[in-house]
Amino acid sequence: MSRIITRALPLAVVAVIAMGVSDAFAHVTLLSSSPASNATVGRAPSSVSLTFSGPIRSGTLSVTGPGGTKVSVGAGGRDPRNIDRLLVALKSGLKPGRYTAHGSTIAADTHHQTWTLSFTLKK
Amino acid sequence: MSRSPARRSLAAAAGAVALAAALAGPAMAHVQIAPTVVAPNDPVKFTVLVPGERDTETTKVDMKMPSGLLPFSYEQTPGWKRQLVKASNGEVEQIVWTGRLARDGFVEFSFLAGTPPHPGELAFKALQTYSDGTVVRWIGAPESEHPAPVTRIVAGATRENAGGEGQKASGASSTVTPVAAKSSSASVGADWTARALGIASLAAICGLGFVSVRQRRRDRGGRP
Repeated sequence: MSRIITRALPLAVVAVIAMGVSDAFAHVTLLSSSPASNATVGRAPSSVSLTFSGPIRSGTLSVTGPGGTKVSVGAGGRDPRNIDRLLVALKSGLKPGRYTAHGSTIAADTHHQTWTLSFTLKK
Repeated sequence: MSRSPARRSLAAAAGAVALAAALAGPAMAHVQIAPTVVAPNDPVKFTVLVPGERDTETTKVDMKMPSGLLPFSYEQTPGWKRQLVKASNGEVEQIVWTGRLARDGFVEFSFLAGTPPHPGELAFKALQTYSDGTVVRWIGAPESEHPAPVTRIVAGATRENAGGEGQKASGASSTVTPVAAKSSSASVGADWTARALGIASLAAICGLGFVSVRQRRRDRGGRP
């Protein structure tokens, strides 16, 4: 009897912890971005995108460069070619320096989430 | 005691009515969707009810998702497999369930989906395939023989918030770190139920352990 308990107890603990992990369900998580978070890139990207774990209803994305100048075009939004992706185009002729993207999403379950990522453009 | 002709004809009429009702019966067994009224911009648990209505088993239900609806989680119906057909942009276009449904059985499929932001109608066109190859096309208008089930999106309708939390996560800023995809299959409600059950079973196991340890001590005659 007690042997069964000794064996079952860790299993039950693991099960409960695992259930806790899945709590973030229906919010989306960020799977990848372009450029990657904290990456240093040699060429100025023409757009910034964030790809999520699930579909988003809508969102916004803006990018600021050195000195806080806005370098993205428009308000950004869901990529028409991928409903899991947030996309914004960038202006051309970007100066070297650190760039930060600020995004917001509304998931399929209507949850609002915000996102921040930075990358550096090399000289 | 002989029956009067009047009584006999009454009985015949009743029989005819019963027969007609019996014949009409199978045609009444329509594919349905619930709820039929939803709020815009709301995560809703939709349930498709599929009754068998022929002499053979239903083997496949293929439902087209109305555009603008964003399904994001699917209930696992025992004995049935679910497949998603997606458009090139990742939008779910069709959900295909395959399995076996007894002639006089019914099956329900549930999924969570975000409703579109504007009022309107969502028609859930479905194809029901039987084991003899017959396909019943539930794609017609509401008054047709095989209507597509319809849900109306009405501003001000009661919100369900299925799979969402009581409050929206406002201002919760996430630092961007690439993470592996999480498998998410249960609703938050189910999740909490599951966790409560887990905690309850943990408590029960601990309780049992305590009892058995005490029991053993008693068996050893109180020695530690």
